[in-house]
Parts: sequence; C-alpha cells; structure tokens
Amino acid sequence: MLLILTISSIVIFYALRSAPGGPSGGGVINPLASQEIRQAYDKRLGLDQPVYTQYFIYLRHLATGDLGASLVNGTPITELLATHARNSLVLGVTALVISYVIAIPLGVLAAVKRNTWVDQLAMGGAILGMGIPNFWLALILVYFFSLRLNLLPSSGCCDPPQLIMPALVLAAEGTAVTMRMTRSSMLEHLSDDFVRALRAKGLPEWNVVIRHVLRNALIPVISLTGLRLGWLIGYALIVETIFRWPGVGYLLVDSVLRRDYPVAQFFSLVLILFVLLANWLADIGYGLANPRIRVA
Amino acid sequence: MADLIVPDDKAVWEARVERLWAVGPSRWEDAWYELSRNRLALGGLVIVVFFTLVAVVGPALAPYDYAKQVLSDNLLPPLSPGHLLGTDALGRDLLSRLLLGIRISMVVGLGTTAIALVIGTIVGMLAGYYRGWVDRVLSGFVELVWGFPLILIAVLLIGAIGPGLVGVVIAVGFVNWAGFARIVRGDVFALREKEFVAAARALGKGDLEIMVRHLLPNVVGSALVMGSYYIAIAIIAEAALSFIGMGAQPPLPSLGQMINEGSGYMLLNHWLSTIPGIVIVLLVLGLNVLGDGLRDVLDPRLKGLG
Amino acid sequence: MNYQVADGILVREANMDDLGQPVVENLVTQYMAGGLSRRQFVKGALALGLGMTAIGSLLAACSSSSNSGSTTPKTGGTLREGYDLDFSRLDPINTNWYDPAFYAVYESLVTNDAAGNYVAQIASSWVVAPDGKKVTFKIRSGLKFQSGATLDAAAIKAVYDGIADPKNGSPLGSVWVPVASTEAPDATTLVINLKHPYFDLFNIVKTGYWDIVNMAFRAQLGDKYGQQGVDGSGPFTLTEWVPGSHTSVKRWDNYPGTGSPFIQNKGKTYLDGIKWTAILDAPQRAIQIQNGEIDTLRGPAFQDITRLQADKNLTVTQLKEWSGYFFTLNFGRKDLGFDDVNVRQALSHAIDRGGIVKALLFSHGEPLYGPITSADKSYTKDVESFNQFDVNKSKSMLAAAGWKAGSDGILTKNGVRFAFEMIIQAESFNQQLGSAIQAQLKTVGVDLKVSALDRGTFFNRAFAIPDSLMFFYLWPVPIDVVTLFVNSANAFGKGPNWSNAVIPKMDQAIAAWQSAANQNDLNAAGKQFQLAVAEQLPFVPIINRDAFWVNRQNVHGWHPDQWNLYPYYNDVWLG
Repeated sequence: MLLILTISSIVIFYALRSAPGGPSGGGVINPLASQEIRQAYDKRLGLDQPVYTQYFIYLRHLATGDLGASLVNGTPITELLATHARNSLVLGVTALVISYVIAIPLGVLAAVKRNTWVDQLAMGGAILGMGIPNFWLALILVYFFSLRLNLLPSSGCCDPPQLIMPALVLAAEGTAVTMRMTRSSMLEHLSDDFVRALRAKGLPEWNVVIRHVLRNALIPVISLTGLRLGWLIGYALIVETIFRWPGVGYLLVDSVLRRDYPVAQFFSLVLILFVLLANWLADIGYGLANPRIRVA
Repeated sequence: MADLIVPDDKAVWEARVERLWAVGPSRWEDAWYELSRNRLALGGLVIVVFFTLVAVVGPALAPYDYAKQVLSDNLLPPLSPGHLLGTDALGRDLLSRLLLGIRISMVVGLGTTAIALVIGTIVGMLAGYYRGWVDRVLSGFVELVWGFPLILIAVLLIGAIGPGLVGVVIAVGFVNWAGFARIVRGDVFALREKEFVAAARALGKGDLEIMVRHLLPNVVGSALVMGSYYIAIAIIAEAALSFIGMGAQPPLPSLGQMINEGSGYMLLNHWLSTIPGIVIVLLVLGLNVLGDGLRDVLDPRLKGLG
Repeated sequence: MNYQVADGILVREANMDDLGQPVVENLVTQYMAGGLSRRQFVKGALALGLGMTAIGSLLAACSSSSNSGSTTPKTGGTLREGYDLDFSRLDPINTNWYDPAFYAVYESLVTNDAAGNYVAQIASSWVVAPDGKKVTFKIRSGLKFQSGATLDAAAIKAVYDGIADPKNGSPLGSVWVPVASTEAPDATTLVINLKHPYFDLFNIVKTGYWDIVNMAFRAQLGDKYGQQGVDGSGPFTLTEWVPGSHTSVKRWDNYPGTGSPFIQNKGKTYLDGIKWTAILDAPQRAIQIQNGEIDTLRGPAFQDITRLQADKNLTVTQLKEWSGYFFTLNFGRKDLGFDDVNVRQALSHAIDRGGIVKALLFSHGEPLYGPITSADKSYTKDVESFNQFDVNKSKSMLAAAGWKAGSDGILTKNGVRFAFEMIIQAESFNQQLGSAIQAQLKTVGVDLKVSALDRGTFFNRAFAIPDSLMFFYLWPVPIDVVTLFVNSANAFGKGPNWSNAVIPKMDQAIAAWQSAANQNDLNAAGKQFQLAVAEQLPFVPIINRDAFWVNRQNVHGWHPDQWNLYPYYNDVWLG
C-alpha cells in the first residue's frame, strides 16, 4: 500500500504542476497585475524550478512533519484536515446509516413477502434508486424542500437540517443496492434446510426469520460495507460540491481548480488512502465471511 | 498485500464459467431463449435498442438546428406551437437538443466502455494467465487505478487538455478499466486450470493462441454483463461532469449539461431539467436491467443476487 | 474651480440634464429609508436646483409614509449577507475587485453620500488650489488603525506612494499617473500635488482600491496580508477569509466613529459581526433569502426577480450597476483582420444586444454600445450610433474585407477559416452569454468556439493573449477601470490590455480624461473617450446588468445606493 501511495503522490504532483494555470491565477495575486508581478510570485513559491526539484523540497518538508498550508488563505493543512475530514465522515456515516436502516428491513420484508405487491414496490424503488443520477435527485429535493416548501436549507454546513438532503442523496444508490442484496441473500437462505428444521420445531415465523435467517443473510451484505464506503467517497465528491458541504471531496475539487498545490496534493492522497483502506477492509471482511473463498 | 479478490461470490463465478463450458456450442441460443423469457430484461433490451436508434437517426430528424437560438422565443413550455418540448433560456428547441444529447451520451458511454473493456481485458488476461510476478505487478497497478477518485482524474486531465468531451471520455475510460481487469483476471484464473487449457498446451499451442482462441470467448460473457453496467456508469459520470461544467462545451448539449442549464429555471419551466433527467433515468435503468438479465441468463444461481 | 465646500459636503456642479430625475428620486428614497438626515436632504435638493417650496412638499410627503427612524436601533446579532461573486483578497493594493467586506474593515479619504456628493470620511474637509494643481486635505485627528497604530497623514501618504510604486504590483498605478507627489507636512494635513488639474482625483480616492491600509503591517505580512489579518480603520475587524466560501468580520470596539455626515450612527456598530457567503450558483441566491438562510443579498438570478418582488417578507431595491460585459479581440490575429477596425465593427454589428437583454436579463439591464452605462453622468448618447444590431451591415462589411462564405457557411479568405476561440470564466451567466454571442456570430459566418475555464486557468490564458476573452468589470467610475483595459501602456503583458490594442485615438482620449481640470472638461473628455471606444473597439462592449439588492424585513439601516458599490454597515441593525 505504501508503494501505491508513493507512486500516486508522484503522479499527482507532476500532474498538478504540469497542468496549465497556477496559483497566481487562483485569486491570490491580482489577475490584472502585470506578467512580472505574477512571475515574481511564482518565484517566491519556488514554482519556477524543475518539477522534480520541487518534489524533493516537498518531501523534505514532509519529513519534518511540515504539511504546509493553503496557498490561498494560509490555513494550515492540519486544520483543514480536521474540519473537512470530520465533515466528510459525518456525511458519509450518516448516509451509510440511513441506507442500512432503510435497506435491510425493506430487503427482509421484500424477501418474506416475495412476489407480492410489497416486493414489487420495493424492487421498483430499488431500480429507481440505482438509476437516478444523484445530481438530478439533489435538484429535485432542493426544488421541493427548499424552493417550494421552504422546509430545508439548500446548502451549507454544519447544522443538522443542512445535513438531511445531502445525506439522503448520497444514500440513495447505496440503499437500493443494499436492499436488493439483502433480499436476494435472504431468499437464498430462506430455503436452507436448517430453516425447515426450525419451522418444524414450531418456532414462530418471525423468530425464524429475524433471529436465524437474517444473521446468515447479512454476512455478504455487511462484508460489502468496505466496498460501499469506497463507492461513497466517489459519489460524495459530487454531493458535497452541489450542496457546498465542506468535506474532503469539495475541498479537493476546489483546490485543484484554484491550483492550491499543497492542499490538492495532500487531500488527493487522503482520498486515495481512504479508498485503499476501504477496499482492503472489503477483502478482509469477505474473506472472513466466506473462508472457502480465500484464493491462493 | 492480500491477493485481489473479486468482490462478487467467487465460487459462483467459477460455477458459471463451468456451466458455460459445459453447455457447448449452442449456449448462445440457450442464453437468448432464457433472456427472452425474462420480461424485465426484455424491457431493458427494448429501451436500450430504442435509445440506440434515437442516437443514430434522431438528430437527423430533429425539427430545428440544435444550436439555433431565437432569443425572443425563449422559455416556451412544452406543447407550444412549433416546439413539442418547448424551448430553453436561449430560445433553442428542446427536442432537437435532446436528440443530440442522447447521441452524445450514448457515444460517450460506448466509447469509454470500449476503451475500458479493451484495456481491462488485456490486463486481466495477462495477469490471470501468467500469474506470478506479472500478476503481482499488474494487480498492483489495477488496485492503484481502482482507487483513484474519478473526479480527480477528470479535473486534472481536463485541466491539462481543456474542457470537453474528449477529456471526459479519456478520464472515465481510464478509471473504469480496472473493473474489467478484475473480473477478467478472476475468470482466467479459474479457466486456466481446466483440462482444455492443459490439452491445448500439450498440443503445442502458443500462449497467445490459447488466450485469444480459447480463453477470450469464455470471458466475453462476463464482459458483456459488466459492459452493460459500465455503459450506465459512464453515462452518469459524463452527465455529472457536465453538470459541474467540465464536460460538453456550448453549444453541445449533453444530458447532464441540459440538466445543469435548466436548474436555474425550475420555477419558470422545470421541464428543461426534468425531461433530460427522465431520459437519463430510463436509459440507465434499461442498461441496468439488461445487465441483470444477461447475468441471470449466464448463471441462474446468480439470479437476484443484488 | 467650481466646488462648493460646506460642512464637509462637497457639492459638485450637477447639471439637471446629467442625471435629471433619478437623482431626485434617489434622494427621496434614501431620505425615506433613513440614509440621509433632513438637513442633508435639503442641502442635496438645493444643490439640484429645487426650490424651497418643492422641498417642503417633498418633505411633507416623505414623513407621512416613512416608518424608519422611529424605532430605536438594537445592538447585537450577526448579519448574514449573500454575495454573488467570489471574495477578493482584502488587500486594496493588490486586489482586482473589492467586495462588501472592504466597506466593513476599511475606510477611504472621502466617500459618496446617497446623492452622489463627495463627503468626508478620513478627511474632514479639503481645499483645491486656484490653479487646480494642488489639493489639501484636512485629516481628522486621533484616528487609529485596528492594530492600534496611528492613522495620520503620513500613513495615508505611505498608502498612495505604495500604489504608485511598481514594486507593489498594483495594476492601478496607471490611473495615478497625473499625481506628481503626495506630501504629509503634518499629522493632519495631506497634500496631493498634481502634474495638471485632475478633476477625476476624487473619483479615484473614494474607491476601495484607495482604501487606507496600514502599510507597515502590510509589508510585515507580505503575501499573507489579507489572508490572515488586515489592518484598516473601518468599524469591523477581519476574523475569517475563505475564498469560495465566506468572509467574517466582527465589531471593532475601539472604532473612533465615522467622519461621514450621512451615517447616523456616530460610534461603534450595532452589529456584533457580519458574515458574507459567496453564493456562486445563481438560482441558489433567491432560494436562500426566501428561506431565511441569509438576511441580505446582492445579485439574485434574473429569472427570480419577479418572484422576490412578490414576496412580502422581502424588499427588493433595483439600481443601475457600474459594470459591463465585454469581449476582447486579439489584435495579433492579423489573419482574421482583428487589427482592422472595420472587421471589429462588423463583428460588433452582428451582436443583438437588445435581444440578449430581454432574454437573459428579463430586461433588467441595457445594451452597451460604448464602455459605460447610460446612468453614468458622463454618458453620451452619441455612442448609440455605433455598434447597432445590423446583420446585413455586418455581412457586407466582412465581404468588403475579402471574406466569402465557404460550403459550410463559414467565411474563408486566402484559405483561412474565420474561426477563433473565446475563453470565459466558468459560470452559468457567462456561459449563456457566450452561447448567445456564438450563435449570433454564426449567422454572419463566423465560427466561434467558446471555452469555459476555471478561474486559475482563465487568468493564466488571459495573459497568454488568447484570440478573445469575455470579461466583466465592476467599478464605481467605469471610465477609470476601462482605461486599464484599453491603454496601450498596459498591453503586451504589462497590464490587463488583453487585446494588445494600440490605438492612438484611445491614448489621446485617456490623456484628455486624465488632464481634465473641471467638471466640463471631464464631461468632454468622457465623451471623447466613449466615442473612441465605441468606434475603435479596443474591446467589444456587450451589455450592462442592473444591480439588485434584497433584504428581509428585519434588517434596518442597510441602504445600497447608486454611488457606492456596496452599502455601509455602520447603521445596520437587526430587528
């Protein structure tokens, strides 16, 4: 994993510094100023040196624990990390919780009431949830709840009312997938032999379903949590940008656009690290759940 | 690091591949028969075929030039005389723009998936066949790319080559190939141990020939299923990038761009965003459902597995 | 010299036909909203030539319908204001525009009241020498910066010298050229020596770019000035600046009080603080103020105006805006003929400005045939004879320049296709405007590609001199900022003359403007300048938008006016 991070950081560093534009256009220096002033600014930042030299200087700073500060307004990166990572976590975890709280009971219900209208409705909803582009869903929610009903704030952070819509949008796709997964997993296990045995013993249906079947059925679902988290990161970027929720994703997009190099570099790595961790967790979780799956 | 594990049930994939091989040369006819009995999947197929047709011939049938602006006729509601779906803020006919937008979205979806498919299959095939250090290196690479946030790639790339659809296609294709690689690798891993491969090798066939003539046809099935999903993902990704201004440039209408342009006029004429939104939902649904159907066909044991 | 100085109010010679009706209406509006005292209202009305009887009846009408001034202001609370642009760096010398926070943390030598008169702020009065080449300002005594440092004439001299010093990188140095020197003979006297009479001087020093900042503090912080701290003399201190998101200020408890007579609160502010949010997504602005997420707002999206005006919880104020959209044409593209004034004019004739104003602005704005809006007192109607929408004229002018339509409808000449690229900043209104221009140029056979770029890339490309770029300026005296874009001294990387336009007529007009000795000269020079721009087209003007301000009913004392870019916050209180 360390290797991947190192390679990533080099690639990102090069990509950022080679891309056209620079922080002198990002709002720090007066864009109406002459070429000389802008070049002087670049020189002060050391941007006129070859990229690999800049990289080594960067590494040297990192080695001393100096993560740097935002070029735009001087906030130290550690501070940015604290606030933005917290915001992203709040959003992500809320979305995850919402999706499980809705999806699992619905999935169980749909499985138990298979092929009835309940099932059709749930499956229909799931298909819709997977198909709606999240930015369009966001637009619709804002239209109803902010514009027409004036119930919810349309953007910003960090009060609970401001969390509701972004979390819902973020949770939408995950809820649909989790629900379908729960349903099919339940279906698979409902026809297991031991279930018939339990029924024969005279246990009430709900006891059979909830206490025995569900436990087994949830294993593949839970083991996918890691992967879900990884997907959430990707989607969260868009949701944070639309709702101006200052999380890591939003910061990343904004800093890349402003060419705020220190921030962009650091937070891309943070994001990548997070996805790698999530994948790794997914692999472990899956291996634990199904020992026969572990591949040589 | 732990070996890559395909996120779906591996034993199930193995079983599917076996079945494929066991069924024999008429498996495609069987598959088609089963697919046609799945009403939902058939519906999906119909939708996809419909939109493909629209993408191909639609813009030629458009009543107006998609870029033609009649400023004095702006923001007309649907069913206005001369404009079936109304006009946008600059007086452009919505129907004409929609037709082109569908084509653009489909092309981008297909284009990126084609790129991702080719790259992913090659990488996955090599990794799964040769194993050993080749596998380690390639798998590491796959995992690296798998982790990159799409938006980051897109922003960097588009920052470098300028905004526009070319950047979107490259960026999305560049990130999505990892998914194909993982699936193909898993398949090849299992297939490689089969007797027919050993037999082919005993006959003195070269690696390349084995890969192309024997392994490739067997991974096509799973590639098809993945492809269907990935086209949907690509379409949404392009729409999302256009929505934040990094995709199609004016006057090109992509569905995401149209939703974005209409978002400021929700109270005056919400159809500007609603119609392209519905189109995307239908298209993506069709693709997803078709993908489900294909997957069910290729292994009934997978039926309903999320 | 035709100035009247009385009680610190400099009343300019405003001719009735310069502004006519709107000025009186403005006076009335401001008085009724509490922005002017009764005495100031009378003075202003007198200066406009109204007789006492007329004034008397106006006053009577005002007091019967006025309701503010009767309630006592409450202290406390934070004003949440929505802003339609991103925040500039709070460094007057280095910023490319100034945003509302400038009005909270900084002050300038003089300012405008709601009627457009120059009034005291840091300077309490001033005298212009008979030959017009020297202006002596009396500086109020006992003033301090927020850090505690003394604000005296020497500190002001440091600021003005700093602007003139090319090392500081202020792009506004070129408008300060007529100033020969600034002297501070004692703590309360500031003398500005001019190379020639420069009537426009007051217009310059009242703007946010000439706000008084503690230069020593600024030098200390270097690049970090404006990011982590500022030192001005305004009634608020900076607490947080996050471009793209928000800016926050809080009350300065040791504020000595304002020097401007029209501000009624003579001491510390009522507000505890202010937080501005940059709402760059246009439709969101109206949603937020209707929802109560913000208390005040500048610049809602135009399609939302009607809805806001109908909302009983809101008050909408509509003013003309000192701004303009224009696009440049790179004079270096000789193959396309951009250095030929006829080609530039031909392109300009293809633009349907009126249609754009109706469709995109819902008629809240006007076409720009010259560089400035018709609300400006220097505006000359003669510019309207240029740049009128005439597709046939455009086509014939292009044909006369040797362009013939190819098989795809695009003009070609000597194997060159008439195709070029315009860069714009990525933002929804810019994109609509760019699209409209693209479509309109297509009708005369020009293939325009529009590229929407993020901010960082945009300005870097701007200095690489693209074929064309679209831009928007915002300045209370537009002619001054326009000179920056068209002055040949600012071409070739030296400043924002992004066309690399070198036009002798332009330079002559700029020289005349800068050497105007009185209001009449200034008017004449203004006319000359506008006609030069309209005819020679160093850039192509497009449209001007109206400024809309919205406030919720619980906000009092908040009065945007025509003359200051943003409202002052001294009098604001939340009910």
